[in-house]
Amino acid sequence: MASDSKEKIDVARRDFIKITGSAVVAAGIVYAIGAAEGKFSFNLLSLQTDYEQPLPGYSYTYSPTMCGICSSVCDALVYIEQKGSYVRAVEIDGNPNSSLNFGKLCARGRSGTMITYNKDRIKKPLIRTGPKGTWSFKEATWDEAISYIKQKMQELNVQPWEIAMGGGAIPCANYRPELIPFMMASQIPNMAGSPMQPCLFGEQLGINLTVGSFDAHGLDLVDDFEYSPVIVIWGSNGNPAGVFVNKGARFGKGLENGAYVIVIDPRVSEAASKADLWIPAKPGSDLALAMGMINYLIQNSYYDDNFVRYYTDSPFLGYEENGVIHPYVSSYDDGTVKAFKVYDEITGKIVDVPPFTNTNAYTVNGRRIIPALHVSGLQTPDGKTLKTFFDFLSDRVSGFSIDYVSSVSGVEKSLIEQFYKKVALASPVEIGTGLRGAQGSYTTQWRRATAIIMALKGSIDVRGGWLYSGAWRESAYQLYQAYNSAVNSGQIKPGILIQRPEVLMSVPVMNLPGQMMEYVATALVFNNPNFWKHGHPSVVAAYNSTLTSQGLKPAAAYSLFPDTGIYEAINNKVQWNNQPYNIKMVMTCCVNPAKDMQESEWKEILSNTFVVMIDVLPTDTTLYADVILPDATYIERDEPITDRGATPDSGYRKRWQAVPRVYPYAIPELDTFVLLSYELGFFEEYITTMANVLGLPADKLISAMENEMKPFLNQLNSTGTYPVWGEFTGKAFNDVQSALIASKLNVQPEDVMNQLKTQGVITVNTWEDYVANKMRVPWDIPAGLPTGRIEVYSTILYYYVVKNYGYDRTWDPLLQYVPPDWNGGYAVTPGTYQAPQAPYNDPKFVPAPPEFFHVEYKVPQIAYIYTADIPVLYALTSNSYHKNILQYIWMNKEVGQSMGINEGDWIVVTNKITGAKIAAKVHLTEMIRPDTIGVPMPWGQSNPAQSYSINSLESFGNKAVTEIWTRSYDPLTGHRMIQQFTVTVRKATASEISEFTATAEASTELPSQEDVTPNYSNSTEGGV
Amino acid sequence: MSQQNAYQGFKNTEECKHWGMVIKVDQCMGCDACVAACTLENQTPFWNELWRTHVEDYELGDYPNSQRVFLPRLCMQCENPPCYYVCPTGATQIVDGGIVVVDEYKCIGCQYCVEACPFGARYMYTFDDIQKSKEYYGENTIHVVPHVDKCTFCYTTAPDGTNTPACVRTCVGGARVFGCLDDPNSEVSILFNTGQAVEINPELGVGSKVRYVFGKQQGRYVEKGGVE
Repeated sequence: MASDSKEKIDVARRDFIKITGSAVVAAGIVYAIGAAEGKFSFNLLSLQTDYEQPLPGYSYTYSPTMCGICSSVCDALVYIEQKGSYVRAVEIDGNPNSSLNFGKLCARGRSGTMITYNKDRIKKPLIRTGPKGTWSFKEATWDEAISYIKQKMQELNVQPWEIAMGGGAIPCANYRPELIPFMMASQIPNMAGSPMQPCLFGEQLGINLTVGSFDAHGLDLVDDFEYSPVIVIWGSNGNPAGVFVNKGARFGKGLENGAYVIVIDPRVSEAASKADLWIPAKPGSDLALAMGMINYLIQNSYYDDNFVRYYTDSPFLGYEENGVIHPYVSSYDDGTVKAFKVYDEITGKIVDVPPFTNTNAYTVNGRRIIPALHVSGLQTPDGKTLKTFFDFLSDRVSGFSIDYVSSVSGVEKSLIEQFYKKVALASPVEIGTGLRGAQGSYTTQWRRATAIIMALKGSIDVRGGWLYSGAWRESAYQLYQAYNSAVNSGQIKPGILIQRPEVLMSVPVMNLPGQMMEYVATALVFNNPNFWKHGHPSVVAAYNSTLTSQGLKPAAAYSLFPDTGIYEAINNKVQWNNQPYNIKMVMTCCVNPAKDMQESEWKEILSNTFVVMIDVLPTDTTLYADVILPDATYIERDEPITDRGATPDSGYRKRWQAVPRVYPYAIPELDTFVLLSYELGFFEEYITTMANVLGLPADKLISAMENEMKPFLNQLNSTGTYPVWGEFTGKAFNDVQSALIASKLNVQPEDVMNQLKTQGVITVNTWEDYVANKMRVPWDIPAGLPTGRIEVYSTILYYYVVKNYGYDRTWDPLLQYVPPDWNGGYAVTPGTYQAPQAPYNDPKFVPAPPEFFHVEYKVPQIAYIYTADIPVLYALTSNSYHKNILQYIWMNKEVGQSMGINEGDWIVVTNKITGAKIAAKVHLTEMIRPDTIGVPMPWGQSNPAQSYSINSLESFGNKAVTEIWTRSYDPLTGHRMIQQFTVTVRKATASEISEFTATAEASTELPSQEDVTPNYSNSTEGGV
Repeated sequence: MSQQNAYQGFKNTEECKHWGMVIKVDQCMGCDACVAACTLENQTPFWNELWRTHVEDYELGDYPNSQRVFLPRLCMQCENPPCYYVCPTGATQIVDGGIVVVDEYKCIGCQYCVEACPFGARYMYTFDDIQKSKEYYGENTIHVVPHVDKCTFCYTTAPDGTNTPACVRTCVGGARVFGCLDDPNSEVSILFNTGQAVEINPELGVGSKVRYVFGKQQGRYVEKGGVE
């Protein structure tokens, strides 16, 4: 048998190559016959060098970290190669100790070393020498760069409110506790956060308002797919399979456990490839589908009566006036809510229930009741008809029969029935919290509807449904205790949280559960002129008030850090106190607004402001920077201890520095912010605020910061370079935090740091602990929401948004149908509702070629656009067997052929409202609706400084999909309503192809050409 | 507080004479994490579109009955490997664990094995690739002389503490399962022995130790054992 004659070498692992290596040295010359490529290059000297590479002598170690590429923030291990003073990170694995990502990392996380060692990195501070839109910079020292920034700020007489900061996914997911204090201390009220308007607000707000989260995917919620019998991935491409590992790994486990998967997406996304049921619903029809589902659940009694009755605000009584549902309440003299009212089925009376609690089982006096879900014949003393919110909900969805839903969604009735039934019978059901998918003015109501479905099914904080994270749960509990203590001490009367700001402000703001943190930050800080010494609120608030003073709707009624108002400020359309509200300066960290936000608006903003950027790679936005400050990559950063993120466990983790910094002019961003505060004169306020928002002792943090900062500053001042090891911000925080954590856990600070250094994570409480300790939400303790219940009726929308801005169906507190309003609605002009012209005013509308619906989507190999410049990731997408699938625009094959378009042709896609164009090659496929085109998000590169991703111009033109985003905003969230315009498609002309494949001009050397020697040495010379 | 090497969490900490892998096609989400992981660990020449593993993306059927199938591909670690038989120098060997490897110092680059492999699992790692690999992968490159390269189940490259290959460690969907075929209770053994995991081209008689579980129900999928 063949097997008998096999040679088997019996070697231990890792010795294998060594043994045969020495054998070859003895044998002498080895030659290689030329490969298929045909080149035979024989270089004896070179081979000698190869042999002389002593393979022994290298040692390997590892360092835990948190991935810094997307907002999943997976726990990771960096594998480090060393020999003598040579150190290099060679591989990054997921951390198998992690209950967040279970040892998994996506292609991006696995390629993290290729950002650190990327030749395109910004190596030194750069100052612009030529026109914006081009790469023209000269190298500068940090001193020169900071002096230049200060000089320009003086020249332009920049006031703090005239600065707009910018932050991307990494600052949002990781550095809220540092950046929000920076803004508060510096008195800069403006931040354009790239995740905000498309993700956290444009998509997630509906969920957040209902269950109390803020960052559903990175921190507050766990999609517990692993234990779900039925999983619904709806209108979302990014999470879980686009890919978002902390949810994707759970999705994989759910598949393993035999979950039935339903995917609603106009195209066969990665998630849809795993679906048992793929529903190619028409873009814009998601809300109708969801309202139909709620109708089905209520009509057929498929809801969890116990959960809905006791743990949501569904039994609350209300009355309707002019389309607005008002809660029927008892009020205090100051007008705040004293109690909500329900109808008690035991006594047959209307009774008062507490304003903030987890359950409707008791009156304000503690008497046990059964609150009715349905009432009839009830009235207020002055004759208004009373119904429960549940009744109102049933009314609102009653028109959404399966027939009607089928007609507007373009989905066969039988498929819809299957979908509804599967969800109805599942216990629990898991509707993925989603990310990067459907967006229109209907999105908030649609995501509210999906959260209402989860609530109707009782799938909140149960295994297999939406679990709250340990971090969120601890903060909800802390807030509950603060409320109780304030009530018991007589400091406040019982009330709803948003009407008891004293309670909210008594908790360190970053320790508030998500939605309450969002409320405080939005209503009480950034949009509140009284918070700011200079009396200017954020430009968002100023723009809202400019619009409403003209009788228009706002541009972002309830949104934190959208980019609304910045473009308008540049164009003199924003006032505050009858003075123009100007934006003169933009300061960004780790964000690419020229591509990740509305492209043409941001290019105009950046062209007309003084722009300072902190970044690692030369993104397209750097073409508009005046000053670029080099950042360290995440494996070169050593940071504060933080929470465990979106996992059911609570505990601690941190980002450890794995290798000495490769470029000694790069400074970790957290240190850069402290240094800026020092230079600009608000150091002490900054450190104090950072301590306060986390509840750390300010005096200790300040003295730790001052101590740790000294050697770093000394080296920077004397040599112009930064120590290659360590980060004083991280050290200072660690000094203070490790002592506090140690005392909480009853161990020594060294034990804390040691556990973090060897295992990466510390677990304090698990899901099982929380169940045992009766801390499930709202089953045992109130949710972090104004009423403490799951809010089927949103009190934030009623008591904050409706109260301040009047009614609009976009922010109906209960649930209201918002039609797709293609090429109309709020998608045209900020603040102005434009009734869409026929046929766009008919939800049943379907375009005919050359007109299409438009969807955009993530590809799993790329996180944000800048990550396309990681060489292995770019190579993954450009593999010939799927390059067209990943880099081209998708169009239905039959439709394309009928238009005379062939696979690989260049096409131009034009936004019907704005006329803006993008161009790319087309992929003809059966995997998308005939009336829809699909545009991949990572492309649109134009900066030749990006050596790898610039090659994508072969496939996709130099404008990103954001170029065709609306030039207007959703009035509630500020998002760009991606599904609310149609596009026309045609073949590109030769001159268009030329135009769209041109790179930006580079008149000075690119970072990859800069003569700065990378450092692979473990030198501690001058370092700490 | 534990001092354990964190990589032991990836399991497969003991030695084994016959490793096997199962690909659960129903769980592959096409994210290419495995391809990136393999590349970084095994330092493959991605700049030439050469990989030890890759994931194919098939579009099947007509709208609205379209299906998308992601199919991870790699060396099948055959029990009866064609590549072994054709190697003129004995560079291709089967080592402990039943893993088919190439002794890069014996390989003369004739590429007969590249031709012989019915699965296209092998490729030439050229001299130029070796020079380039130092730029991307650090000093201690695992490719020292030109040779034919292929999947080795991360035989000499997995971090200390585990024998689990990089692709398996990182697979987000849990589609890749790795374990000891000599242990009747391991998941791979059970899937092999119950016939749930099948060879892709059993008619070739190579005895693949990488097998596939197909068969997503509801009539939405490829038939067992056959992929075009």
